[in-house]
Amino acid sequence: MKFVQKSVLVAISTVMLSSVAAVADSDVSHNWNAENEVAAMKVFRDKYEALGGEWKETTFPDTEQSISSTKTRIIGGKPPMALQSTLGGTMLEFAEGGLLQNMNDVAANDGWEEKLSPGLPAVAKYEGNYVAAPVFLDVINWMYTNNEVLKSAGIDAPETFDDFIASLPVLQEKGFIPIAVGGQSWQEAILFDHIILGVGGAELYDAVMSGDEGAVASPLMLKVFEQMGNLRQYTDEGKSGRSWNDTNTLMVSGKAAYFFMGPWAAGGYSDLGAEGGKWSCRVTPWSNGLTAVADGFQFIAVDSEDDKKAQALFAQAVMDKDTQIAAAKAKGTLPAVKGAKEEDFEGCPAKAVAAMQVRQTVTHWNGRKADIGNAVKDTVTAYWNSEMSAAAGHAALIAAMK
Amino acid sequence: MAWLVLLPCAVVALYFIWGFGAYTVFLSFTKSSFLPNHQVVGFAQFAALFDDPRWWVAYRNMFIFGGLYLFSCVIMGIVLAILLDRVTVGETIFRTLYLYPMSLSLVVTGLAWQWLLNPTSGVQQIMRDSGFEDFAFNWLASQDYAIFTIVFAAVWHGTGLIMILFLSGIKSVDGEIWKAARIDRVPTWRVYFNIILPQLRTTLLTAVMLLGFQVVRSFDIVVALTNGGPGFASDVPARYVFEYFFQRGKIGQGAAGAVIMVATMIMIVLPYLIFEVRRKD
Repeated sequence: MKFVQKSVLVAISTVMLSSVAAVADSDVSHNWNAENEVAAMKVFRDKYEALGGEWKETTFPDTEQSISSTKTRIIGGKPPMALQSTLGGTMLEFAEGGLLQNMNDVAANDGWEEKLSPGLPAVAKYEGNYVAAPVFLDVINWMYTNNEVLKSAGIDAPETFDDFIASLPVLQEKGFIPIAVGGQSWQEAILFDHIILGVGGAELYDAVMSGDEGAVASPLMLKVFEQMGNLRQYTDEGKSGRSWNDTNTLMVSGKAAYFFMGPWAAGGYSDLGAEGGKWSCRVTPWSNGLTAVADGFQFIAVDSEDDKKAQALFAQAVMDKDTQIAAAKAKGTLPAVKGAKEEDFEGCPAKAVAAMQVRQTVTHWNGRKADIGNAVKDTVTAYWNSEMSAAAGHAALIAAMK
Repeated sequence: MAWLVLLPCAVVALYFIWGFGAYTVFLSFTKSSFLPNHQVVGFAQFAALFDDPRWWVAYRNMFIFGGLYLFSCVIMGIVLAILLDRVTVGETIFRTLYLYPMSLSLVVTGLAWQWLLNPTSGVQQIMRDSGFEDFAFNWLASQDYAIFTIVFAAVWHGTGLIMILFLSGIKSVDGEIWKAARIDRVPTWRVYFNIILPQLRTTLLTAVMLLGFQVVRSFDIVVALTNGGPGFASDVPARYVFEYFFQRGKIGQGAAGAVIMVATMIMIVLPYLIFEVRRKD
């Protein structure tokens, strides 16, 4: 019995004491599997290989799985060299845990500070040190419309929030699903974003998503909840648990009129031809603001020199200006480096570049502390899927944000 | 030398069950968030857990789901077993049919029921397309009823096993009892309810134990069928713990949820177990 007790103790302490990361597999953990995302990754991969790197990847269906696998692999001692993700809450948590590599040398040699668009160097740093390479800037607040559906209901694409609301009963009357929404809380939270932008603009959005208690508790936010509650009746019953891809299919197949989603949805409309014809994308028409978040590669702390070399090479490849712009075109979003011109792009990304010149850019909740995004998602999903009153929904958000 | 053969298995069980269990309990008292952290903070994680409305929804669902699932599986299992015992032809066919759901994984069960119950493509739509335009069966999309769809699917999946357990119990009852009952002209249903079933207490114990564990670890069927939705109305503790542990980077709070989940089950099952075991002595 003594022996058993001892071995259990040894076993438990091994689990508890197993230290962080030594040899990496020099692979990249990511969740880019949609057609356009794969194309973008291929651009990075080709550049990395051209520089002499040996490409290895581990692909996941969604970012949560990629992040959680990376975490497990770090604890297990065989981490990937880089993790593709949104540069926000998760990156800060990895960095706080001391799990990310200091990339200052590479950044200094390569001139990241001058290369990146304003605001982005700060996003890629933790305590003043580069720990990630931002490659894309995703504008999140897109309104997709199926123009054929709008036309057959005799509606022009709305320019104001009031016009948008007024068009919903008309569409429903004609037998269309006015708003396509999926059943995952982050999708519902993106719809919520558009309403905040509609009611209080970029200022309100930024204040709320920074956790400003005054802004969260303001009457404007109550109005946001009232507006959102009113939209419940304008979607379909099949929404429960539906993925964003399936929701996008409702749009492409001409069953639904509006869809509020990030830039990744644009790839699904290729069957309908070019943007501006049977379908359109618009950065929230009724707002002075746009919400954006940086996507990129976090570099995981590795010890071996070979791994560090591979990391530096990969960083150099993804931060190459022309490579990044080419990858951004392939993915249909904006590069993180400066120097992209509107004429370089077509369709939705061109509109994003144009909007950035004239609108106020605020960081999307996905680029902020994870607690904020979780509070928003939890409150919005509970509110949206119930008959809860606007006041109760608002109170729940205030409680969740404190 | 028998202990030599048993030792590896015992060590593995101790390590993976009790070792990890103990570590989870320990984690629930620590500051662990994104990574395990061994700074002990007392009951702070439990306080955060109890402060979370999502936890209470998941916790309540464990009782709704658990109660209905146990009750329905046992009752339907017994009734089916009795009916099968009565059937003279085709017993094998019926037995196989009722056992088939068991051979499917819970994920497949969940997905299949999700398609059936989806209001825009499943039963509701089929009924509406065939002319019953007011037909409504949209529990999957309802915050109040979504948890019951999980009960449906789980009962469909689990009843076969309980039926087989009771059927083998009923068949093992001494044939003399039937002869005696026939002579005394006892109605058949009374033979079952007053004579045979009371003898099957151990079978009931087995059934309740098997189903009870199924309730605590109900995860895959929920993920496949509703993924905790709409909103988080049909969330269950196991899924909640998973989400907080692995996706939200709140390891301490997730561990606290796991501890409460297991503690609750022990509080319910242990008295019953002790009662049944004592009775036998």
